[in-house]
Parts: sequence; C-alpha cells; structure tokens
Amino acid sequence: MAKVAGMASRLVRGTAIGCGVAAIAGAGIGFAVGEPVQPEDILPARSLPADLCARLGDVSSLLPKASSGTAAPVTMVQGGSASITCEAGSSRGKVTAYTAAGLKVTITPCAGQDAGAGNAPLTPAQVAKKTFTRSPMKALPDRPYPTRTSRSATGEAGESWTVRALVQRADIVVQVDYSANPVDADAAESAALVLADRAIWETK
Amino acid sequence: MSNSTPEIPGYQFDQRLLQHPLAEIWHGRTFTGMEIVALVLSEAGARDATVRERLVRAGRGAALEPERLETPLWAANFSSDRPYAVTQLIPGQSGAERLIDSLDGVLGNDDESLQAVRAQLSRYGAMPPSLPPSAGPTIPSYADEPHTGPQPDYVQTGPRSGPVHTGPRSDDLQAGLQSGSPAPPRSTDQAAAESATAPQSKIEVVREYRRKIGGWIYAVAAFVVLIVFTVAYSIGAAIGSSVKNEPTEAAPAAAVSPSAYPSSVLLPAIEKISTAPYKRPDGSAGVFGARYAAGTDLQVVTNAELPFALGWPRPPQATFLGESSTLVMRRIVTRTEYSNNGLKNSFDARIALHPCKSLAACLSDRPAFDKQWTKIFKAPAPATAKDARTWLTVQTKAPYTETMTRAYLSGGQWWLVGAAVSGPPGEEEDVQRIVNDIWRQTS
Repeated sequence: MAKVAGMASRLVRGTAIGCGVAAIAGAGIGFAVGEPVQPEDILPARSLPADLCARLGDVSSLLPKASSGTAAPVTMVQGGSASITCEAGSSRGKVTAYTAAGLKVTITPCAGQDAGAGNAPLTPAQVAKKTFTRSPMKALPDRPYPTRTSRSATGEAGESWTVRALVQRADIVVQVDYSANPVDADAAESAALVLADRAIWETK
Repeated sequence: MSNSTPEIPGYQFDQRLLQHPLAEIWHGRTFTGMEIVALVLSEAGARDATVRERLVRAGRGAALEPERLETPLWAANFSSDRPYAVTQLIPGQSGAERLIDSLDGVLGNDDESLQAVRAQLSRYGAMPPSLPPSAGPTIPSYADEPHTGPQPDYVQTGPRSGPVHTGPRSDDLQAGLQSGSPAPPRSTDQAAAESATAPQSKIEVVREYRRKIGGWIYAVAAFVVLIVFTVAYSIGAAIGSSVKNEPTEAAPAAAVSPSAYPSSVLLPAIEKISTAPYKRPDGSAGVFGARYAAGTDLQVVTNAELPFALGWPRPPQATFLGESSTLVMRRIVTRTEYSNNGLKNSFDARIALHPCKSLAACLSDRPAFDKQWTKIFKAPAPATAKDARTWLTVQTKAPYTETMTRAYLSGGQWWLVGAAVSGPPGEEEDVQRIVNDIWRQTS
C-alpha cells in the first residue's frame, strides 16, 4: 500500500516538476519566437489597373517616325496580369530609314514572402527592395527613387544601344528595356527613366 | 504448514484470506489482472483423504454444474503436493464461496471462522452471507452439499483434526486474517465488511485507479505537461507580440510627378540605300594593281544594301555591321563552306559609308570620316591621293591590306566610301581586283 502511494506521489511530483519546467520554457520560447506565421499574414501583391499602359501615355517620341510623316500617338500594348508588361516597337515595314526602337516596360507589384521560421513575413516593400538590391545593374545616384541602370551597345557603327533602367518604390519594381538606333546613350537612358517614373507615378 | 505464497503457474497471489492448519485461502490475480480466489490445501490437509475428497467434489461441482458457468472453476490440481482449486472472484457471484463450502465440513461448521472468511470475500464483491452467525446451526442452502459426508469420520481420521475442533482454532483463524485486528462483535455481516474496508479505502481508490489506467498514467502525465507548455507558449507569444516593437518600415519616397517625355530621342537616321546596277568589268585600268579582265565570271554582291554592287571572285556573304546617324557599315566575306586551294574564307572587304550633301561637304568630312572608320576596322588610313576623290594606302605586310576612301555621287546622293580589303599572302591580286572594282563602280 505504501509503495503504491509512494509511486503515485512520485508520479505526481514528477508531473508537477515537468509542468513547471514546461511553463517556464514555453513562456520563454513563446516570447522569443512569437506567434507562428499564418498564410494570411503574408500580404498578397496588389493588382494593377487594366489600363496602366495606356496611362503611361504616348511614347511615339521614343520610337522612329513613320516614313509617311504622320506622328500618330503610340500607346503601349499591355500584357500580363500579376506582373504587367507594356510593349511598343517600330515596325520595319513602315520605316524606310536605318532606325529602329523597341520598348518594354515590366511593372511588378511584389507580394509578401515567408521569411522562415521565427521571422515576421517580409512585406511587399521589403521584397521589392530585395529584388531591386539583387539586380546586377549599376546604381544611379541623385534620383527620387532607388534606381539602377545598364547600357550595352550593339553593332560596330555606334549609336545603337540597349538601355535598361530598374526603379523601385514601395512594393513596385519597374524595369524599362529600351533598345534603339541611332540614339545617344544618355538620351535613351533619360527617356527610359522618364518612362519608369511615369510607371511609378501611375501605380503609387 | 507453510507460510510461503503458493506458486501456481499463471497466477499471482497477494493476500492470504484464511490460514488454517488444513487449508489456506488466497486472493490473487491472473496474469491478465482478473481477481481470483484459490483454495490451497496445506501439507496436513493434503495428507487427509477426506479433505482432498471434499476439494475434489467442490471442484467438480464448480466445473460441471451448468448453472455455475458464470463463475467457472479456472484451475485445479487435486494430485499435486498441495492440491488447489482456483475460481474467479466476480462481484455479486458466489463462486468464491463455493470453495469455502468445501471447507465447511473440514472446518467443522465453525460459523465464526466461515463468517470471517466471507467477510473478507465480501470486500471483493462476493455475495455476503445473509445469515447472522447467531442464527443457529442452520447453514445456508449452498452449504448443504458438504454436509453429506459423515463428519465424525473425517474428524476422527484427520491427523490435525484435534486442533481443528479445539477452542483456540478460532483464534488461529483470526490471526490468519489480513486485517489483523480482533474481530469485532458481529451484529451484522455488513458491519464487518465495512469495518474491514474503511481503513484501506483511500489507498484502495488510488490503487484501483492506478490499476485501471495502468501504464497510461505516464501518457496522461506527459499530456498534462504538453498542455501546460502549449498554454505557456501562447501566453509568452502574446506577451512577446505586444511588448516587442515591429521594425518600423521607412516610408517610401514621395512619388514625384513625372516629367514629360523628351520630344525626340532618336537621332536622324540615314534613309535606306538602294543598290545601283553592277557595271560589268571591261578590262579598263584601275586605281592600283590587278583588275578583273573583261567578261570575268563573278559573283555580284547586290544584297549588302550598298549604293553600288560589287563583283566577288567566290561565293560572297554580306554582313551588316550596323548603322548610325552618320555611318553605314558592311562586311563581305567568302562563304565559309567554300574552299579553294585550302584557302578558306581568307579575305574580306569591310566597307563604311557616309552620306554628305555635296562634294565639298564630303571633302571636308573626309578626315573625320577616315579617322572614325579606320579606327573601327583597325586599318591604316588611306593617305595617298590618287585623284581628286580617291585616297589609297597599301599595306604589304601580312595580312595584305588595301584601304581606300572615295567620294562619289549616286542617284543624287554624295557618299564617302571607305573600304578596307585584306587577304593573306597569295591573295594580293584578288584584293587589288576588289579594290579596283569598288573604284570602278563608284566612278
């Protein structure tokens, strides 16, 4: 009988000690780690307006004039839903000079991301910042938004450039790919930046 | 008489309910945990044939009588050193008492000791005897059977029968009871049962509880600890999330109203060039060295978008090196698949064009144009003036290279044509013929 009672009390004592340790450890770990991340804590990407490319306006000044001389306004063609691309280009058939241009604007609204166990999920802005930072392009100072650019020449005659600009603000990352000839690289870059700034403005 | 616990395979005994010179009654369990009662004869009892006969009869009765199937005889061995019978102890059933019945005669109708045993058994739920001990010698009906045997006979023959009937025997029985306390005056059997149960109730409850859940008690303990941990974690997490500050994000830069698109980004481009018809070689003199003979079979390059066509001695291939606002650049090579005397793709012509408004403009543009295209082609600048519109340089070290700049009018458009034609040793004459052909086409 005493043995049974002893066993019972030993078990009760062990359980009590275990409960105490578990309470301290649980509270400590809970405090340090915090509440687990639920799927609904991760913010989704914004959806962008369907007429975004039209809002960017007439880009005919970035493209070769048609040989007919009529300066028709050119709005870019929109594609994509999550990440929107706006494209415009010169038609080889309508231009009878050695000139061409291609324009592509990619506007990506970033979504939040799971940052792993014990971390708060990344906000869309953080994800956008990360995407921007990982770009291999060179940073361009003195700009209202974080900006990176790169340029590469094609052909041997010069004045044929492909200019890229990457601009990030909040959760939006805009990349402009502009290839044109004949063009001055600096002029092409500034035109691409204007286009990127417009995309940022229209998605703010 | 042995004090040791009887050993019956498959059963474990924990409590001796009755100790008697002839027999012992043990409470125990099967290995599955069911409660049983065993009647085990002592060595003295085993030697007594009458006692053994009683045990056998009681055992057979328990085993064979159909109405007693609910409390069957579980095990019996009547021929071992210490014969025994084991029956299940079921609350409310009288199976256990039937074993006592067989002792009835052996014990000599000692009501007091029988009542003591029954009181013990009733603790385990056996049916308590309904008759008070003072009710007289009348034995309950289930005790009738053992009375069939002639009692004096076995009393006489039993070697330990004397002590069985003596007065102190009752004390022996009392000493054998596990309760150890002197039997209280038994007004009723219920009172006896309660008095035996009361001091053990608490521990019994714990024991019963432990027996019921068995090893699961540890799982329950672990579960309790887990619950405590979970609750503490939730509390800690809630405190943490309310105390800790989320890293505040820097507000994004204010959006700046974008500037207008630049009015014109592209530079004025050169209109596309249409190629003039090829002038067949007529054997006339060229600007330098060898020339195509009249009527030479040639491949004519018309797809290079040059203002003039060009004769090529082998299958040609034209490459566009690009156009800028001031320059158009082409390259013509022999097709790679063509091989003549092991000379493969061995000489090429690189041609640069610059449009100008007039001859005077061309002449004034020439130094800058020469500097530009010879730098791109990494060729020597044409230095020797051959006529008013032609300049030539011949580089004789390998690779043999001729460079020529020429101004000419084609379809109302003045052009400066820069050509660098080169080939390995042995190809000099071909190089000269091509330069002379360009000179002739642009005259």
